[in-house]
Amino acid sequence: MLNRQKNSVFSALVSPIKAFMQRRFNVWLTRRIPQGSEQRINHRNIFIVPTRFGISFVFFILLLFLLGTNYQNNVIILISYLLGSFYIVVLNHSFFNLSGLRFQASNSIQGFVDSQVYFPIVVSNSKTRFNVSFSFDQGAELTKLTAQQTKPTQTTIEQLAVGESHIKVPYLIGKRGHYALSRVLIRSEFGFGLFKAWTRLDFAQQVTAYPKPIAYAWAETQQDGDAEKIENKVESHQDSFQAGQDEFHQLQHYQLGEPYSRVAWKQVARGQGWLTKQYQKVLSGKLQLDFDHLPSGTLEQRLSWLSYAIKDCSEQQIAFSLKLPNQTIAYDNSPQHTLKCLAALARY
Amino acid sequence: MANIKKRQSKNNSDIKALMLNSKMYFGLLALQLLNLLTLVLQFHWLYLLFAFFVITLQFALHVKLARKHLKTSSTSIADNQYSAPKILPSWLILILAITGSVGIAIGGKELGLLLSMVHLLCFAYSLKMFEIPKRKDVYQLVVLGIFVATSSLIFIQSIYFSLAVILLVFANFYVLLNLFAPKSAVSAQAKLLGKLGLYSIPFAVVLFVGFPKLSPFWEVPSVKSATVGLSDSVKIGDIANLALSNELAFRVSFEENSPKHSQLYWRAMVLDDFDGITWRQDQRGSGHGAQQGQRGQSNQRSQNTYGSARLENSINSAYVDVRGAGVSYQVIAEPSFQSWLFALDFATSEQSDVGRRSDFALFYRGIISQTMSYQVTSYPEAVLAPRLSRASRQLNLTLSTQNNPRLLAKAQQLRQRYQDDSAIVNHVLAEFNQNNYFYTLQPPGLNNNSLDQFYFDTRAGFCEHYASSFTYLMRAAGIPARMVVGYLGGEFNSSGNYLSVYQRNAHAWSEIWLPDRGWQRVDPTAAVDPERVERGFSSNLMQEHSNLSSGLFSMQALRAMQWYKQFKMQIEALDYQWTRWVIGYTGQKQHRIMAQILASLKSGKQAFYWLMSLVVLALFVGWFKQRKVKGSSQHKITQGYLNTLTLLAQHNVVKEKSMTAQQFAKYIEKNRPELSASFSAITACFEQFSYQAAAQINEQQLAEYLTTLKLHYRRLRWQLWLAKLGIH
Repeated sequence: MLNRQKNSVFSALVSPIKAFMQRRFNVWLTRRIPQGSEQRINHRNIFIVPTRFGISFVFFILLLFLLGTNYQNNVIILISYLLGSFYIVVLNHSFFNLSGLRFQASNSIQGFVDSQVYFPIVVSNSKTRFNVSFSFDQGAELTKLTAQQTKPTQTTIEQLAVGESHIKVPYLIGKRGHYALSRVLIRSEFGFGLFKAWTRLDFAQQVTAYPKPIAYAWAETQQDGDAEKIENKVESHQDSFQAGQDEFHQLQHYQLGEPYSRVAWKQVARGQGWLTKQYQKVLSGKLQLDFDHLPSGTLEQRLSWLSYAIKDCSEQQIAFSLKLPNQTIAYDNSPQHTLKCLAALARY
Repeated sequence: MANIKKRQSKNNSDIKALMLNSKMYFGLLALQLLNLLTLVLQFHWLYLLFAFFVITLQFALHVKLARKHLKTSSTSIADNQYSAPKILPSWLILILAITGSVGIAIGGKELGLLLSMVHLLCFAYSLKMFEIPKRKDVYQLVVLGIFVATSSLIFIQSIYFSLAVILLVFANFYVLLNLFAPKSAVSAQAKLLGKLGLYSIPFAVVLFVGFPKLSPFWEVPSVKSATVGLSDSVKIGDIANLALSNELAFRVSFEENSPKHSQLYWRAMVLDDFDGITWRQDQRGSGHGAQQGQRGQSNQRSQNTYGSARLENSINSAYVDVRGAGVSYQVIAEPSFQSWLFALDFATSEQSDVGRRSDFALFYRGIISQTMSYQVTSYPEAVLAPRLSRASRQLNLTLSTQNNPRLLAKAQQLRQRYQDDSAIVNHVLAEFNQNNYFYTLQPPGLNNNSLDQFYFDTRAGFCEHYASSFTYLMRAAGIPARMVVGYLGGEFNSSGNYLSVYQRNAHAWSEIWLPDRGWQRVDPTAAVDPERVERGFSSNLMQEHSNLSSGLFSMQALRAMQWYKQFKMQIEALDYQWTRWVIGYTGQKQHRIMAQILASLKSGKQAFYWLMSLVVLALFVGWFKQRKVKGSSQHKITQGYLNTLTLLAQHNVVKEKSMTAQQFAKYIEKNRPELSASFSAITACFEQFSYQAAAQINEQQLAEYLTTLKLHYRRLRWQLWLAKLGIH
């Protein structure tokens, strides 16, 4: 108990400092390595730090020096000097392994939250490079996600051939929205694992993260497991809130503000037959997905339901229109339309 | 709780076993073999057996595995990766580790501290090969390997061995290189490694020459081995045996011309205590302070004896009358595991670890367990001890046993015949010369080491026979006398310009004390076999030597060939230079060389300043050029516009590459209306400048543009700052 308390006090003290340092570092990084879709890395934006092995190697060299000095053995001292100077040569070598690489990335990425997408980068180089790994600098969210998923979080190129190569960097989408893509961490320990040469490049691209598609919770509890049926239900439910059908207009007025409780009540009263009846009616009309007519839930939940519906419609090639409180997207069924709708959800 | 969980998850991610290709495994094994081979002479046979077994086992297993993988995947060796198999269960490894350590601890007494530590290190290295589940383990294995290879240099430091070890140390990095670039060819990897190794030489050399040589930080266990060369007690026949050895004892390079062969009497130690059979160093009386040569003395004790030895030096130096010119030279002694140093009379050395005993012999304060170099200045014309202390006289007249009655009688007879001491000496030497005495490496045996028997009957012997009986005679005749052992002569290597002294040059001679002339060297050998003293072994002696010393495979034929001699001389010269400049690069030498460099810098001051200013100028020009390329290729207005863009980018207003200046201005107007007034002015200036033909704008207009641009830039910067601080 005490330990935990201490821990929390400690973390309470440390985490703001850490966050502050991180922020300062990011600001500094923006100034140091400005964003751009095309970048060339050189001495201005490559950083080199010794790895843990590199640090322990320094101690090893010191140990050899001590050994040589204590035995007054010049050859051992010479070897320790040789290794020391080799260390510095390797430092330069690991720098040159990255220096001069050109990167180009002009595609923004889109995807559902919690899914993994790939960010394409074109790398061009004039000599062979070794062991370059690319990953997104996703920090805390990444560790949270990797605990659940075992997908790779980085791409490692063992040997980067001369010329242009296309590289796909895995990116885990963390939160919904339309925001700037974080920096790509490009690192290499090539040489001997003594040094880590790295750079973080901001390709000035955007992420459009669509809400995570979630099926209706109540539908699932009702119909345990049968996927096809659930889908049907979901659609039918959405359809039930379409404007333009006279009978429903009235009902809407009657139940204003508490659509979920109304549905639940009806369900209990009528059993399973009610839903199918509504569905048949709707097929004749135009499908509209309306944010306001969704059952109550948090904003993110509602968006997730909509996202699921859009995804589903697009898969089954059903045309639909989307109505959000701030915008309306016209009736269509092209893939562009789907993307537009999803983007609207992401931005909402 | 949370901590444990974290660790577990960490472990989980680490558990992914390290996959290595078979090239790597074989590389590791081969390097392990080579690393252990450097120490092979030091190993106990049990460990040798174990290490051999381990390597063979691993090798066989990896061959099998590599074959299997090759069959299944049918790709090249570099591609077929597998994680290290668990050959032995970890409990077995643990048991092995424990038994091995216990075994080494038990054998520690026999092995000595240093060797036990080496064994422990190598044992860990052998066992480590069984467990390489992570990348970290490969790192450890490599570092261990380098350490094993390097520690072999404690025992051997010859040039070829050292170079081989240095190469091996770099070869160990191959494993790491392969870890990161497993698919590149071995030749490419070797080339890269060689290149990086070569690059690291210059700085290492600078460090070696310039970095101050430190004295040892603490006492370390020294290398223990059987003593080599002269020992501190000489019986008849000992030196003749030693003279069969072709081992190198020490090497000398004189600063100027080397003295004549007959002057090269290298004093190692003085033996003044004779019990009728064995000559020893005096253990009693005045000489007691100089017993430091005894092995196995505790540190404390030897400290004390050094102290008193030093004290005696200061007293005894009053007894030396230094005259004439000094001869300076550097001696590089091979490890003898004793303390004697070798020098010509009368030797002085300024080195702090070199002491001088009251009998004028030099000694090292410690055990010479590795090649050691020291600087000496000798004064051949100095008079040693013009006055002799009573105790010393007493000591050097003692005839402890009376087992040589005939010699004693002869001495008394001589004493009666001659009043003058030198007359007695001359008489004895003349007898040696004229009375059919033989100088031979194979003297006939003597009963109970009787000097009588040699002197009167067999009349054939090696230097110690003559020196021994001569000294005995002198003492019996009342002349203070003692025996000196050391080396005589040496072989001059013309290509290296140095003198090598081998064990076969071991020699014994006498020293007698004459009033006013002090200790005088008398070499009875010179009377018997003058050639030995003038030039070295005579051809007869050489023949004898080669007959006795050659083993089953005689290299005699090869040795006789001229080209072989030449070749050997070259190689030895190279080794000598290595020993002299690398192994023998002491702090003192460093001091001298740094002073020389400084002096030469001072003398070439002018040139140095010129060079420095040239370098500075070159750097400056290079820097300026780079700046020019970066900045001034564009006009100031364009630059101003770009500066503005940078400023905006710093405040998160970024112009996409695809936007034109106009579009960006509009973008700003839309998104950051508060900035648009200043920015559109800047844009206007920029566009005016870039899209009008250069001829149409005159200087005045340009200047105008520039001032507006600068003004608006400042305004913009101010507004951005305000915005950042939240003030609108």
